Amino acid sequence: MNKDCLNSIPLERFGQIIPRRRGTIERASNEFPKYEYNANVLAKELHPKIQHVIVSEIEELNGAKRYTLVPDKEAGQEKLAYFNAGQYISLNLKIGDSLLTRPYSLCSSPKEALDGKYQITVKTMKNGFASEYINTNFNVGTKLEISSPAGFFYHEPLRDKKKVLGIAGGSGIAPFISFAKAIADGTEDFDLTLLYGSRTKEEILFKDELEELEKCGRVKVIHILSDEEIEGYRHGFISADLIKENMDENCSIFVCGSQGMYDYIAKETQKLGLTRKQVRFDAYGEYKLGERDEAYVAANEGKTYQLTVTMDFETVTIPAKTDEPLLVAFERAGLKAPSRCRSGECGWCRCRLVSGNVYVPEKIEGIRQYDKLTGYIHPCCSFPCSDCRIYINCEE
Amino acid sequence: MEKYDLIVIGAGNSGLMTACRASKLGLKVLVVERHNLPGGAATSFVRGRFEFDASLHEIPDFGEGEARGELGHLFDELGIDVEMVPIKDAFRYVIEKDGVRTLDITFPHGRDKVMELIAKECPQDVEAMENFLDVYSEMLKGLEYVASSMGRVDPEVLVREHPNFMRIMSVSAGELFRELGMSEKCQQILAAYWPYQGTDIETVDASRYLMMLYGYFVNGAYAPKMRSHALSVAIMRKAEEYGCRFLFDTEVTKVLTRNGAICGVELDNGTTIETTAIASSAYPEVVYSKLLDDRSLVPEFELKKANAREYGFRAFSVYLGLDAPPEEIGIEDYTIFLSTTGDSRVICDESKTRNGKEYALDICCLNIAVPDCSPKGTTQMVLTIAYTGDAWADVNEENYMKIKREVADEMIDNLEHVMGYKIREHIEEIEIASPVTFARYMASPQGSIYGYCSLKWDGMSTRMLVAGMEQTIPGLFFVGGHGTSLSGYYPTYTSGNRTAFQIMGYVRGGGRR
Repeated sequence: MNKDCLNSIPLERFGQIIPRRRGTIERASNEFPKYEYNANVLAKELHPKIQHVIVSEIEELNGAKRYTLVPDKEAGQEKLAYFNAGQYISLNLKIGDSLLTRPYSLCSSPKEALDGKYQITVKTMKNGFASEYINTNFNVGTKLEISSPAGFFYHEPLRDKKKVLGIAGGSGIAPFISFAKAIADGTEDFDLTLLYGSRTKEEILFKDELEELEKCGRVKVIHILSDEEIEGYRHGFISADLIKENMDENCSIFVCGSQGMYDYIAKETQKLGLTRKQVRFDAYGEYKLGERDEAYVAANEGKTYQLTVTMDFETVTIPAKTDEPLLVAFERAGLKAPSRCRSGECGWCRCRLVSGNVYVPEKIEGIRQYDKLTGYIHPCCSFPCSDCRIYINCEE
Repeated sequence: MEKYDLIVIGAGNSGLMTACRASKLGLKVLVVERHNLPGGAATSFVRGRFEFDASLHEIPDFGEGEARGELGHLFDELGIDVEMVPIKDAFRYVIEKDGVRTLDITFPHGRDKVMELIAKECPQDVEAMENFLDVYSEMLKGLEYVASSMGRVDPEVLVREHPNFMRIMSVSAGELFRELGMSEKCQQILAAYWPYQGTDIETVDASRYLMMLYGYFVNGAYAPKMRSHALSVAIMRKAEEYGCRFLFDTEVTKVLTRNGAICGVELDNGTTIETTAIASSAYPEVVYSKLLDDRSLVPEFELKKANAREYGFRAFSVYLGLDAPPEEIGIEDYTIFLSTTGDSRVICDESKTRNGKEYALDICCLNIAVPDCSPKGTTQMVLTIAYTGDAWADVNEENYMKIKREVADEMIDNLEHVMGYKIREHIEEIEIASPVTFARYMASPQGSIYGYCSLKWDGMSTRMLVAGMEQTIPGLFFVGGHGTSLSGYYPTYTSGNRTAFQIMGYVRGGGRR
């Protein structure tokens, strides 16, 4: 090479580097520097770790209750985080010795959050440990800790069409109430046709409210009753035919309901050749073992394994039943293990399986590729196959 | 709780590497991370059937075999083993404005291929390019000398043995190109990587830029097969093997001092932990103005320095999961730099706000290097632009999503328009990360992903020359994009590693420098 290729740069310039730096620094202010800007403040407003709320109103619906939550000012909560219509919040609950969480879709409009109001609807489920507790024990004035709004079940204009076909089953109506309200108040800009399946006319939630929301002209509701034949209502299930009748190719489909319904709708939409881009399901909910988990169930039915769990460097040994996910074992033992969606997708509960084996149903897809190889699991959708050694929130 | 030699605040690239090295050196180390997993920006997230890398496009200086680079050697020596995939070409660089394309060039990896391309595209620049690649080794020797002298550089040795190092250290990348007599076209092509530096080509240090270009051109670029999350987890697990402990979902709320030196931290769960040293990924201003128990300890010079500095890029990324394979969409390249002008100063100036007319769009399609990174028949790609100012200062809760979508919409528009890709009809998953998102996950002021901007008085050369001269509170060390080597994967890994040695010196010296 030509060693002289840079000779036109005077060597003296090197000597100026440090004095130039010192000079610039010396001219600056000696105040304590600002460390938080709008982006930081907004990040905290949108995603607070915890929100302290208080139940301000309870409405009886058919077999369900709607709770209005407002900021708990005594606990220092001044406002509530904004959200996308369709998102959920996770409630922190203490029932007996158990510390647990439950996700509930917000059924109020994002606009109302700005005025300090969230609403959720809780239907008492059969054997529903939390829903029964909530609907029995929550009163006006009950104080709660909830998460910031989360979840991916929302209309994304860059991805989804301006026409949405909503498919709701039972209390799966909740996020669609939020959709409809957001459409009516101008927050969202799409047309919603809703296929709403209930068992009986009696069990329809928000019937009057939906009728009222239809008046905005962009929301249309079709009720389908599975267990009753009544004039003016469709009868049966939300089948491929019914979906086809109410959609066209310029339409995105959103589905919220029970796991049984998801499996059914997945089959029906497959019949119609619809793709994943066209059909979006809300979080699956806590996985219930069934037919497709036959091999796991056959090998582990009735068994209880021991989990040795180190959380924040404290170690305990706890039992884990094989008919419920590991997360439930943590919660029963009173461990305040993190969790949110309880469906495998949010990753909030991710922890390390140091030894032992777990079963993760094939359907679950929220786990990172490298995590699968290196022993990280989402306990909300992992079932024990042996005694296990687990690290939560810490590693060593 | 027991006493540690070192507490690392934040498990980002630099924090992880500091922890890994310090543990290997035998220090008792605890890492405290706010989030529930390691990595900071070096992480991934899942949407539907796609797993996106939050920040990484490619890493230089990794290399394989004879072309094993410094970073590759560092990983080998620490025993960190992650499957890395080579990236075929360096980049495709397209400059087009109002339908007029003035440049469209694909730059290869490997010195021979680079020279072939220069001979073809800019025949008059062959000699200048050879010189450019050759002065690198002279610069490296100079840097090694400075690094080994621990702040006691002998000017006579420098002048005698490292004159070209001195020259390179004192100019910007743009000046170096001109001093070597490069044609404008050649300058423009070599400047393509400027967005990776967080500032324009006339401001960024020649040394830093040369180091990066050389790393990419000669050692090639690599990407981890399973996203940067794999790198972060692998480094963490190696650190654990060396005895390091990690505490997640926990925030440091106070930095504690005694007799004028670091003595511990307080955590958000209320516990206090003693330590001799702290390696902070939290920015100096966060430590000084928010975390420190005794603010009177901060040297005035450090306060002035924090105030004089400017932030590096605040990124805006759009992550797309598409339900068609790359060939159907029309994508052939791993990295495309798509720009309206080759003048980086114009773009940096226009990127202070959201309303700039000129843009530089960085497009990365992982499937080109890692075909099975998403299911068969799909594609994942990430589009990124960067802001040079606090461009999201006016956004509020209510209009945030709308503005985010508008910016993303325009980026997709530009890409479809210039490259002819069919993106929109295939979007199965989309996620958008704004500076607010980066502020959420990295807790960096304004959501800066690049630490402090590499200004002329505050570039890598300068920071390295003053390393050891500018003292803060004894026991307090800063690591991360705001550290000595600037930002990016390679610089934060290597500076984290270097800082661990300084920390060991401090700890072993009984808490004195």
